[in-house]
Amino acid sequence: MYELLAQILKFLLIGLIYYFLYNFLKLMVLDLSEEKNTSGDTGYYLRSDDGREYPLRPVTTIGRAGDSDIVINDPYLSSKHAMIFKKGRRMVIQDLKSTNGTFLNGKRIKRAVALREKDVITMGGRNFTFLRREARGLESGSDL
Amino acid sequence: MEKLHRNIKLIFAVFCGLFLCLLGYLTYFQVYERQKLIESSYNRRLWEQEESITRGTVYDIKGRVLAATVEENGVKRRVYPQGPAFGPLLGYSSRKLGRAGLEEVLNGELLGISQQDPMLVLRQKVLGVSKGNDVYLTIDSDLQKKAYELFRGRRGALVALDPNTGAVLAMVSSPGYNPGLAEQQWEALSKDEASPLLNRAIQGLYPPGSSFKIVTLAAALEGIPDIEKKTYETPGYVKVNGRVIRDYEGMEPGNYDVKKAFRHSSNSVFVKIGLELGKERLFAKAQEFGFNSRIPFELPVTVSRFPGFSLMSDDVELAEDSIGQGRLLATPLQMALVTSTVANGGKMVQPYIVHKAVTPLGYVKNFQKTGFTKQVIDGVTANKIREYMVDVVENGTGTPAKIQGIPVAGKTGSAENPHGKPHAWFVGFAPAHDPKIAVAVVVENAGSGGRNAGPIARDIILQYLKGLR
Amino acid sequence: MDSKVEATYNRALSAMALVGFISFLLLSIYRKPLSPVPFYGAVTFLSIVFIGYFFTGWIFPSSDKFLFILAGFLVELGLIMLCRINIELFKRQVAFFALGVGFFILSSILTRYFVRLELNPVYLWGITTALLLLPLLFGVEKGGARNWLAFGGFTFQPSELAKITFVFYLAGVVKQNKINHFPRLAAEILAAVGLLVLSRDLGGAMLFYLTALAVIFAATSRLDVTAAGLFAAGIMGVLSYNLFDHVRVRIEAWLNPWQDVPGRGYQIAQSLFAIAEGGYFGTGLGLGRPDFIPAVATDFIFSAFTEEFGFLGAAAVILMYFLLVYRGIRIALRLKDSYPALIALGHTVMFGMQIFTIIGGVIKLIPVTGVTLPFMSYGGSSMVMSFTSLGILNGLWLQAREGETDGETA
Repeated sequence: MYELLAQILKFLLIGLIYYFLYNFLKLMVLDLSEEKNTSGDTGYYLRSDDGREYPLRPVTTIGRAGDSDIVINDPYLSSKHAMIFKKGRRMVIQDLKSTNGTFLNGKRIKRAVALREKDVITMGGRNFTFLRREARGLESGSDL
Repeated sequence: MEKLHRNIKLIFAVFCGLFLCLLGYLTYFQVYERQKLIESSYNRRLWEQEESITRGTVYDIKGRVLAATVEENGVKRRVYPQGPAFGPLLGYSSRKLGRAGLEEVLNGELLGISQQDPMLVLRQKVLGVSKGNDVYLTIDSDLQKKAYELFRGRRGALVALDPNTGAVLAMVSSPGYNPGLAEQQWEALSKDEASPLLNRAIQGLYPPGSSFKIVTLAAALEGIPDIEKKTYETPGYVKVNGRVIRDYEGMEPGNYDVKKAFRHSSNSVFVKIGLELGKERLFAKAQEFGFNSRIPFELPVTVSRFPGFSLMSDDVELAEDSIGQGRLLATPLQMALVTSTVANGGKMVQPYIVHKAVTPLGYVKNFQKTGFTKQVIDGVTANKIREYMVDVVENGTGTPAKIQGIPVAGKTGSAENPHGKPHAWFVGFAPAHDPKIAVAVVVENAGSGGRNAGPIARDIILQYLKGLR
Repeated sequence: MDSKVEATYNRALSAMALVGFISFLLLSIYRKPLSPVPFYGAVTFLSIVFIGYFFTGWIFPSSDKFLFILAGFLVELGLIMLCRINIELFKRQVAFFALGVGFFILSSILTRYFVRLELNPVYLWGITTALLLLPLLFGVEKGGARNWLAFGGFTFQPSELAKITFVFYLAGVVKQNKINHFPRLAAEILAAVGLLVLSRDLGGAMLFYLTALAVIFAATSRLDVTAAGLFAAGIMGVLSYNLFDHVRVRIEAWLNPWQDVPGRGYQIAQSLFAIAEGGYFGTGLGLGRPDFIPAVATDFIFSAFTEEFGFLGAAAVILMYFLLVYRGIRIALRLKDSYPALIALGHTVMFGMQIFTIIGGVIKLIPVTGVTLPFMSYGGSSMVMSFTSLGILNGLWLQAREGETDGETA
């Protein structure tokens, strides 16, 4: 009798063990896909006065120089003007000792400052709004 | 920092590799090593299982019991009702002696531990079955016993095959022994000079003598143009590099064509043909027939040897090879395969002895053959050899195997050997034009093949064909 | 916590509870007369799991539940086998598990708040060698290795604790991404490894040595040092094969266990017979023969598990251990500073190597060395210290998360 029971239940047990494993493998896949998302795209972007949008990567440099990530042709900008980067879950802006300075909501920044949504960044003569894309990737992933 | 991350990822990659190794090795173990370990005699589980499991029964093709386990007063005993005719083939299974023969090879099957299907195992567990699988052989036990009697205790072996399927109809090694008495008689059996424990049919190596001329003939018909129109003049012997090879006594000197030389089994003519063929072609043909390679079979078969190329090779060796002498050695199963290949129109089929296994719940496991067949000689050549072999039995050395009303194809052999009188060989099949049975018989040191081995083959063929009607 | 992830954890937890109830109910009717002990044990075990799960979730909402649940499930599988092998060991193992969970929480908290207080590596080295030296002086021998301390009726394996201090020591020494006094470092590491060799704990010696190599490599990127280290390990292996009889016996048993099954090859042969018996689905719980396997509760528990849960069960366990390693690596990658990252890496490598060594050993991929399978093998020291390591990883994870959320300034 016991033997019969054990023989039948072994299939159930193996099934349950794999169900458990499946859930954890799924978590691992979620982890990895999040990793991928964050390495490419942060889900944030800057919108310029003229309506152009610049997506932000984990590290984005802004300036006049051709090797900046966002190149803006404005004589009041320095060649390497500012940098926006991901720190933990936040995006942080830092001025790269530019001649005319970087302003956040009208205040000139000296150290690295964390950005909040709809913050207005002013560089040279231009205003940029810091916005978040309606994406799922970050919302679900980063909390893992 | 970046470097640290890269290094950590590298170390992780190493771990991925290590864990893959674990999984890979476990899989390899599961697929290749597992069965061997389950059946290992060191495995204590096996002993326990044997105590609780009733070993399956071995039947012949007609369902007659060859080996069975009976229980008397709670003590299990293996019985072999068919006696010594089956000894070397079946082997034995005893706690004291271990296992041999089919009892060893089929152990997993007979104990029911080689099942792969878990549902089947489950069903058996549910129903409380503690019996191994029954195994049905292709052997016909009447034929086997008849053949064993025909040897009258002389040393030798017989293999009978169905040339169309490769099923082994009889496999006799004489002298035999009663496996049921193996434990009691062990001392005597293991010391007996006639080695009754040996299965000569698959483990005995004999010079095939003139029966090998079938192979030489096949190579000649395919390799020498217009061979059938040629004649060879012989004085009754041939001299090769100073070595004299004689024809058998009573063979007249004169002009022989191939057919006549085959009929009378002229050594001198076949040596000439062999020399004309050359070593390469004869060697290649012998290899195609299965020499120098292991014949796939349930039981382990000793490899038949056709001597390869070496510094020693010269015409003398080639001359001896072409008439089946010298260093050339063959098992009776090998010669039976050569014969059945001719019978089957040049197509060689894999021999097998296990017909099916039946689990205690009636589930039948058929042992589907891998379909190992190969065209060794073309159909036209095979048919020519068939006619030559019929001629041998009708008019030549094989007349003792003649059966009234049934054309028999055959070839005799009297193989010289250092142990005394020649080994008597007869290989053949019948009915010649619709073969149902192919036989190879060897009787050690009995003398002429036709007179001593021929009648055994004849009686076996006759009994088998009668049984078919 | 994301609801989707939470739901996945909850599903895994219910699968775990179901496996527990089914197995332990089955084991309750396994022996005649019927015994409720396995069932009570299961209830106790699952209660500890849930209490531990919710308590860590309550004090640290962002605690790494992945590690805890995974380890809990492995403990459960180990307990199922122990309960089937020896009910007394089972009872004690449940108590060890409770202790382990306590240490998990404790070490999470301590690591979370105090990892920044970097202890001078010299002290850590001192503690490590002292721990390894103690059993040599006052120890008792168990299973061929002299690495146990006995206090009254209670034994303790100091080398398990030394694993943790050793990792902290390593991280402290090499965190500047360069080696200042290489000869001194090599001497210190070799002294620790040498003490293990002296106590005949070769598996342990190998673990310490390889962990040291991995951490040094990660911190310095010095391939030459790593290669030289591996080469030296090879030479030491050959030397010990020639010098020590017990090493030779193990290696020969590995190369050809079938030559001497009743003698040298006994352990490994019995282990392989058990694994072979299992097939794909196993014999079923309670239907194998773990009584044939020597040291089945400790070193060879994986073989007994494979016999009754089959190839599929064994593969699942290997994958779970892999996930554990994966998670440890992930934590190491998340940490921004090299010191905590190296600690996380060191613990993960120690775990991973130990798992590989023992599973590889019992399936005859590599020679058997007497190390335990973390979480599954019977043993208080192993259980408590494995959970402590896990707690350290969890604490580091919490710290990493902390760094991410309060990064107002940089």
